[in-house]
Amino acid sequence: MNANALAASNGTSREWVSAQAIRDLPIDQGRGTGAMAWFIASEAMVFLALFFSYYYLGHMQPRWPIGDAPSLTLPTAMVFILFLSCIALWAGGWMLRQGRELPARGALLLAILLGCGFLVLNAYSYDAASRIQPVTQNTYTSIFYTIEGVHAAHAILGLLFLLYAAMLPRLGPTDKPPHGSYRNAAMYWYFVTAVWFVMYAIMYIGPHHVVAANPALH
Amino acid sequence: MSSTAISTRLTYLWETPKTLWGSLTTVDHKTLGLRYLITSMVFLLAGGIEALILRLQLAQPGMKLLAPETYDQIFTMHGSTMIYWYAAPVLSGFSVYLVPLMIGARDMAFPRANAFSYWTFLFSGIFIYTSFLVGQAPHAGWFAYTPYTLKQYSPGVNMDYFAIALIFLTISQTVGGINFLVTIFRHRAPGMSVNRMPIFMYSTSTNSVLSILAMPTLCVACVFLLLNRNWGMHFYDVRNGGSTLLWQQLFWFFAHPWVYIIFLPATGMISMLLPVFSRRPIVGYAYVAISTVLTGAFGFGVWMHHMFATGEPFMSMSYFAAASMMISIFSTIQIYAWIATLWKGKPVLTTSMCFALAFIAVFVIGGLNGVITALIPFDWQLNDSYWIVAHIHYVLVGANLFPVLAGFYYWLPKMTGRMMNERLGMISFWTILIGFNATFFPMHFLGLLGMPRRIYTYSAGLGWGDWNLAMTVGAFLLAAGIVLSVINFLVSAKYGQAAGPNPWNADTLEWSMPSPPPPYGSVHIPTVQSRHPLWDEHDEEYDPEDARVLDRERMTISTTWLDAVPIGLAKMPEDSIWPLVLALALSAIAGLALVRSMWWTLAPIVVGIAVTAGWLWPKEEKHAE
Repeated sequence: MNANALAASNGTSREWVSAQAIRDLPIDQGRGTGAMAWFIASEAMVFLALFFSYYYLGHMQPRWPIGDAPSLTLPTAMVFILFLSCIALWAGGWMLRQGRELPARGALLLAILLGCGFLVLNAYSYDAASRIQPVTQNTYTSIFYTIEGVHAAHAILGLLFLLYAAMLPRLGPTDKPPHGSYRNAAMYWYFVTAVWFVMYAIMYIGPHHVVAANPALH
Repeated sequence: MSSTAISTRLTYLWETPKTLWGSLTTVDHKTLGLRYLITSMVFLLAGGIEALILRLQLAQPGMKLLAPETYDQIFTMHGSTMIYWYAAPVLSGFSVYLVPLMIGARDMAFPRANAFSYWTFLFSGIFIYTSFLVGQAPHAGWFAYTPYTLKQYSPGVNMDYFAIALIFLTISQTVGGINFLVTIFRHRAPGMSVNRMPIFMYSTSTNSVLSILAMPTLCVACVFLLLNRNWGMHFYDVRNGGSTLLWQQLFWFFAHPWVYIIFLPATGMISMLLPVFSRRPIVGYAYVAISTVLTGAFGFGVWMHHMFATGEPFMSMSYFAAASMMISIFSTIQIYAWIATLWKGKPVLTTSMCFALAFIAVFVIGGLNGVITALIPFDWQLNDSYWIVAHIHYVLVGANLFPVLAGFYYWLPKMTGRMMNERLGMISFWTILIGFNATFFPMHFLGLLGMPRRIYTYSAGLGWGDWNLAMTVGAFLLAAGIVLSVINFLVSAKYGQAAGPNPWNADTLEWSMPSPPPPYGSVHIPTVQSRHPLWDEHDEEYDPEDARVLDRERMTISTTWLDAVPIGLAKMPEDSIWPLVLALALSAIAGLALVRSMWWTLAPIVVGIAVTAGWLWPKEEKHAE
């Protein structure tokens, strides 16, 4: 119903929406997207609280991080892997809007593979780093590994969403629920990626920058 | 087409069979709303009994009814039960029941998630109460300050219960909040643009946003607590570089918005029923709506006023003191709007209205004794004294229990189809009002006399005995009043006079259908042309071609969030056992986390994933031909 019809129907007519307009309505595909947006908002607050705690605990220490700044090699590779997976998902979404189910499903599977690669690297870097600095060593390792762990849990959840979408009989618009699974799962994965970018800036790049700028800290 | 044929088909589509299986699988928001209300009232009674035990112990100096440790557990459970498992869920109950009816939708946007958030709420409450069975209930107050809660000072599972139960409850509240927001902003009746929504929609959606954005911080704080206590990490222990104030920062960032979570929907209910009993529209609709939203927004900027005595920088404290005084402006706007509505209207003194009026008076006292503690020197003097206990009870009982009782007397006739007994209602009202003030007003004096909160006893020479005795008598009076109301609800629900669709001549859509409403709500999805659908000339259900009956499948109308122009037909899922199973899997995870068998939690996690996939899988649906 366009704006003119809306204005006209606000007048004296008893009937606000014509019967035909109701009969012509499509099946609503967007309900879940609203829920996913709010869910992501809530998840974003989890990470906000974690980053707040990272800085709050850090501002009481003479030196933060305690010990060496974490290595950049693997996290940088992981940034690229997540970025590629997002491009795959975005391309798949574009193909889906053109009605090409099969290539979209291929793109989805590629994104899932890349996501699994991210998790493997994540586990490997955790294993390597926790040999040098165990999780329980001090307050820095506690908050650092907690943030890493919470993010990994979200990545696993994101992969489960993507996997579920990949298993559904149909990716495009559907007659019955669930609707828009591809879009909603992809939204969540974009969020997981965005959080990793922020973590990369705060927990990996930041400490190197601070140490480089203050030679006294060496 | 005959209207009986339509309602037969709608009943076939929407009705849950009255069997055991039906009651475990139902997703009907009316059933779930009632369950929410009943469960939270049971928690109110449990928390109330705990309060009475505390009052007996404090009635005279040197009483030995409770050992100090038992006293700690009972006052902690009293506070936690009331604040987490009564005050917010009871409002969710009203919202779950009323929101779809008020906006003319057939059900909530996500009916099965609705069932899931009820079951999680129930199981999290049962979970925390099982701590009494092992004699190790939480014992560090409802805000559980570190370092008391660390392993060193609290070696039992007391605080593990607390942390795990709250994480559990967070899930319920977050799912519920998302559900309310999508329902309110996607399924309003055509024509119910945001400037025509009942005020209750503003308060419910503000409350939902607060839940979604504030509870994650509590969850993080509780996860830190568990890791610190049981897995050797260092967040709160100062010796290893942690910060004991980190808990307070995270906790109050959550808990001050939580104060508004348990208060805003209550003001929303007052804004619904007070105009009806004043026989006129609310004065300053837009101002009331905007102040509701702004109270929520500012609620995120005042948390540090709980921490004035912790030695924060002066600049930071000044900001939070100013913000705390400012936030009272929005509540004041609402109060003036209600007073103006009364002034310009023709008030009818029903029991419901009396509770609403008492709410305004009590809440003003609670606001005033609160806003002066926003003055930092005053706060330093009164911090952790009974003054604060007086403030919290005036605000929370005043701004939650009184509106809730007003809401019960107003909406129970809709829910049960029977009128409440007004005479018993008025007796109950006066008992509650007198008992409430006798219990909590003397706390101001005791606070000024220096009585600290959370002490299990005090010595005779301090001169606190008389006031304490008066308070204990008052507490029993208050409890008697609440029991009278509960009796009134139960007896009237069975034997009361038939209510009819609109006993109060109210203006909103829930009163357009029979009481109790049929499972599908109204036969035709209504259309709305003003803020007061039942008071205007427009016929909401006028639909000669039966286009808006949607009687072929379980469906409701989706509309745009701002103007409520129809954009689609939303298919609604059917009854399902999966929400209950998923909530049970979560309970298993909670129990296993309590005994720290973390590898075993993988089993319920895998079950949970499988259940969720089954829940979301596309299925064959009911059709009515």
